[in-house]
Amino acid sequence: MKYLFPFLLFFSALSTVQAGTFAYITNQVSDTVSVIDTSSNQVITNIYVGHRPAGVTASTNGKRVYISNPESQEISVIDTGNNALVRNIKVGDAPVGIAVSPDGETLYIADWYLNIISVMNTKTMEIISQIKVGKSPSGIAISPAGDRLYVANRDDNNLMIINTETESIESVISVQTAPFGVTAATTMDKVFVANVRGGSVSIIDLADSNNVVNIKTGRFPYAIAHDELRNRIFVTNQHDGTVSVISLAEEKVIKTITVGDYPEGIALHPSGEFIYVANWFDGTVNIIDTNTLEITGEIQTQDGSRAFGDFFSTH
Amino acid sequence: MKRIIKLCLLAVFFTPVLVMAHGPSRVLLIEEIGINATPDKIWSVIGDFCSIKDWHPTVTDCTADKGNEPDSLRVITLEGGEQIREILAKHKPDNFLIQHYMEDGQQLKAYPITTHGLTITVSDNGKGSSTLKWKGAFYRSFQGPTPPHELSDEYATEELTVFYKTGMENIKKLSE
Repeated sequence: MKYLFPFLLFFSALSTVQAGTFAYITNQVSDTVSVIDTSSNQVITNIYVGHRPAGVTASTNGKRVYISNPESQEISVIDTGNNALVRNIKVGDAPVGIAVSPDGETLYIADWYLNIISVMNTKTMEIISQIKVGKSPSGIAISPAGDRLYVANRDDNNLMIINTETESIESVISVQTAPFGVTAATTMDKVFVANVRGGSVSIIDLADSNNVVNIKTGRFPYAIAHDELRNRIFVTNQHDGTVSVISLAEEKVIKTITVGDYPEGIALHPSGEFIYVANWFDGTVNIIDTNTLEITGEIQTQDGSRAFGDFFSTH
Repeated sequence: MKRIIKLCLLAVFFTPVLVMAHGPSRVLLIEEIGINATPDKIWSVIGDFCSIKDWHPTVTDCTADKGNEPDSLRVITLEGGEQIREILAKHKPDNFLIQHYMEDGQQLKAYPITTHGLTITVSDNGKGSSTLKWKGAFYRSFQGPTPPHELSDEYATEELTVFYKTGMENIKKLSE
């Protein structure tokens, strides 16, 4: 991968004019998505989507970004080439967590009310199947190989592992109270879950019989970013306005960073150098340097920045 | 009164098996009022976490277990007797800022919400005038895409806005 990267950069530079990495931040109160060019850290456009946009996921080829709108029961499709809304598609009763498969062909959508995962073909944009899961599925994540889907069932206090080929439930793992955000590690066999009401994160070791380690965070932890290089996770604490930095080796919080109010969505920039955090109450995004663990910037987005999901797209 | 009875009935009817659950998206509320008083003067009215019983007309009582210390838990009593438990998250006299959250796990009757957070700030406009700002957020308690009006985000917004404005107008009166 390391050697492939310069080539990928070369080809993406050929295919688009504005090659770079962009953050797609859902603004729940404004019904928009702010697009941040991470080379300048400026908002280059705000795109109107559905009502109260929450979840976000980007296709690996960089061409599409998908947004969930729980209050208008829609998935919004964004063309990253011109940052325009392609269309809104009605799906279920309250789509929240979304994740696209690594091959870009399948979109998984957690429905907060129907207690299902809707499986959508991204070419036809039709629902091809539904997977029954637990109560109030919220955050979902897909394994790097695309063969497993991880679903946090918020009101069942568990994480489900689903085989994406057979669409069957392989395991149900008890975590702590109200699991919400889920992040899968890219190479190590681990899944991280933020337990909102439990005030903790659960670290699940898939290679060790799904062994669970719970670590106390701040109040109302929401979502998680994983810095694989430094073996750390970053957790947003909604009610503290902070991010807990946890060393996975030491299994403890090594630093608590003050960010804006009600921090929610959090993701690692593909360069590995920065973490971006969306602050719902402030309508801002904070940038954290993964090396120094200091805040290096604040970007004004719009009201209700939630950005729940992997919101970076490189194209 | 009729409305309150209807609301209570609806609340009972729709109270989900899991009382911890809530709607899918949080709602933002912002109210501001200009006051002809300095921030210091306004802070002397609202600075104490439990002063709400003195300045909010529909709050009849308040007790706080740790005063203005972090994580202090106050219990406010509304007209009609319902109590709400709230936790102090930030108390910054130097910035004229108070932030608190409803304690987890309460299903209110007075308002169709399960969470509520509020940040109160006072900013100095010079010449003895200030702006009092209330910035709040809540999740509705109703589960499902089509809440009846009395349990909707819109209704909760209207009712909470009344609560905010009643308090803010009285703070203005007491400060000026």
